[in-house]
Amino acid sequence: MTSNPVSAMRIASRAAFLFEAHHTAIYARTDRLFAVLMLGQWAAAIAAALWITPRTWAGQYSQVHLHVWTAVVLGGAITLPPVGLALLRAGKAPVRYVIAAGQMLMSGLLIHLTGGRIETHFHIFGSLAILAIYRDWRVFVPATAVAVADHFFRGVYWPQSIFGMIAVTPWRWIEHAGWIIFENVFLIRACQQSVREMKDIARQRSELEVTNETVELKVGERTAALEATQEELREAKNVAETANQAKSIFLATMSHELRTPLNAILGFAELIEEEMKDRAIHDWDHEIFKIRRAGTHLLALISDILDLSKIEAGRLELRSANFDISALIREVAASFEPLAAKNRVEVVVVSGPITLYGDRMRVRQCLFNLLGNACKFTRDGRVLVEAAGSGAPGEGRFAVRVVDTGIGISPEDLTKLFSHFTQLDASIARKFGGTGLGLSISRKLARLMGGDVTAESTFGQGSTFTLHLPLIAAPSARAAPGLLETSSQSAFAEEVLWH
Amino acid sequence: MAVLIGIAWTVSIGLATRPLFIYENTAGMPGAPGSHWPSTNLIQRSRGKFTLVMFAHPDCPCTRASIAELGMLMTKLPGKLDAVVEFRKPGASERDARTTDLWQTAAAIPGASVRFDNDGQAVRAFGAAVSGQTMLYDREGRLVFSGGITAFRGHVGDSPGADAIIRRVSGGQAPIRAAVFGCSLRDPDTQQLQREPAWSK
Repeated sequence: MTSNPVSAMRIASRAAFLFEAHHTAIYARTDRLFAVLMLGQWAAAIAAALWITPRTWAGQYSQVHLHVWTAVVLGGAITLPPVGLALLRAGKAPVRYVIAAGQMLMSGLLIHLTGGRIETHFHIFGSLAILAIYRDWRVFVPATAVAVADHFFRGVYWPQSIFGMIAVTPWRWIEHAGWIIFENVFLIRACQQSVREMKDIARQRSELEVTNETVELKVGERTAALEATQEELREAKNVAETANQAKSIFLATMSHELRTPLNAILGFAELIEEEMKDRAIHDWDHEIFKIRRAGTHLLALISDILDLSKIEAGRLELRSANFDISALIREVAASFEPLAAKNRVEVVVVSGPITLYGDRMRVRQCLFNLLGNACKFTRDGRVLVEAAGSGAPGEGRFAVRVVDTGIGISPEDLTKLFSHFTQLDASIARKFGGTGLGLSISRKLARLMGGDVTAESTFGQGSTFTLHLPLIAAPSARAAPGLLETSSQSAFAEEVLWH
Repeated sequence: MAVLIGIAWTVSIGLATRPLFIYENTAGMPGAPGSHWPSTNLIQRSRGKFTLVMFAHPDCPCTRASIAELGMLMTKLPGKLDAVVEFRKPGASERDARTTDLWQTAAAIPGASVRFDNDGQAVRAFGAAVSGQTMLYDREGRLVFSGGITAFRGHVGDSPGADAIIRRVSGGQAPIRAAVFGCSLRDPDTQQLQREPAWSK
């Protein structure tokens, strides 16, 4: 089964052990079987003596026949030592050899007690067959030796007791021994075959055990390796999270430090622009415009980085209050009027007056990003903003869907849409601008508020971004009616802001 | 140690076998049969044939082999002799004897008749002493054999006695005596009863 020499040795060693254990169990079991059998034979010998020759007579007087005492005493002398050994030392080799000899002696006694009946000679052959249960050919050696010796000595000195006649040829015992050996040949062959089969079974079981051990060992090794890898991954994750937090803290600090001088630059650029305007000097208008545009973009980028850092560092605090989401949507939409007009985009808002409880500034920031992207990536199309909610405060959900007919997003790009600094195509940044942080920040803010931002899109046909927010029970009672209004579609009004 | 135990085991078996060997090979009293058919009408002697008389104790287990051997003889010598099996047990009746397996087996032997010696007259007249004792008389009433027809106690098979009877009936020469193995037909004497208290009625 295996070509590994170590495994082969283990299999062979284990197989030998299993075979020995199995065979020893058979020896012990058969010893006990013979203990019972021999006690039964002893009882049968006494019963036979009591039945066939109960008493001997002298006229009208009688006494117990000597055969009865012989069955008791000689039968006991033959039976008790093997039985005692079988019970005390079951499984040991000498025990079964003594049992084999005892069994043959018992045959001789039974033959004598039944008057040398030929039928009782079958006890010898039956006993040999039962001895084969040991599956040890050596037991036939003492059994045969005792039977042959019994036939030899009784044949010489007491022939009538074994052969039923006085005048017998001195070689008659050889004929009897021949029949015993004839049976032994086949019984020994059966024992050897049985032992071979036991060895095969032991080897197969050993192979199975060693294979199982090997598999278990490999599983253990793999599991340990996996656990070590997992531990390394956990440590690496902790290190990465710690590093990310440190980076966020650093960025938050640095962003703050950057915004101060940048605001000064923008302020002074505005002062210079106004001063030039007052003096009617227009030679530097273009350059000043470039300074202000670059500074404003840089300020927006820094603000985004600052927000992202605060969120990741867990330092962003929400300031919740009641506000009208419908009004907020219209306010945000209005801020994109120039962009929508420039891209020839129709912006439609479908929302009734709805009062929400939450951080108005952060909701505005999310809407600003979603609506800004929709207007930015749509040309000659339509942007629909729908606000709807359902359920009771504390359990229900509120959603703002921003549906555009813009360029759309491919399925593979949708998976990395919410990652930091990810713009799906470098050319997009050049063509449409932006920092690549908007969607990431929007989702993080929404999740911070207990909601989410999700996206669906068909490439080339448009996208749908949805801001999900929970319906939070307002601390004041007057907020509740406003929240309940959100579930009423009839209260919604459709308004085309620009066309 | 194991060898010593083995030797002890063998010796104990040998010692336990010895009384049996002695008992089985110890013949009974030969009795005192006369040289001719006794002058009694208790048993009818055959005219022109050999007559065989076997005495048997109805409860003697050793005699089972003797009756079996008698059956063999009558099969081997058909029509050449008549046999009488005379049962005797002091103190017992013919009705008791008839219920025994020995009586029934003997009665089933072709050419053999069965009798019960009620008062022991036949035993005394023929000088029998032991169950299984067989006497063969020739056509003239002369005793030509007296003894047992088993080789030893209770075992069937060839025996000097049976062999002698076959030879005599066939016209040959043979020993006139052979050992008898069986129970005593007579009660033990007082001394023996006192010496061996196991004897009981």
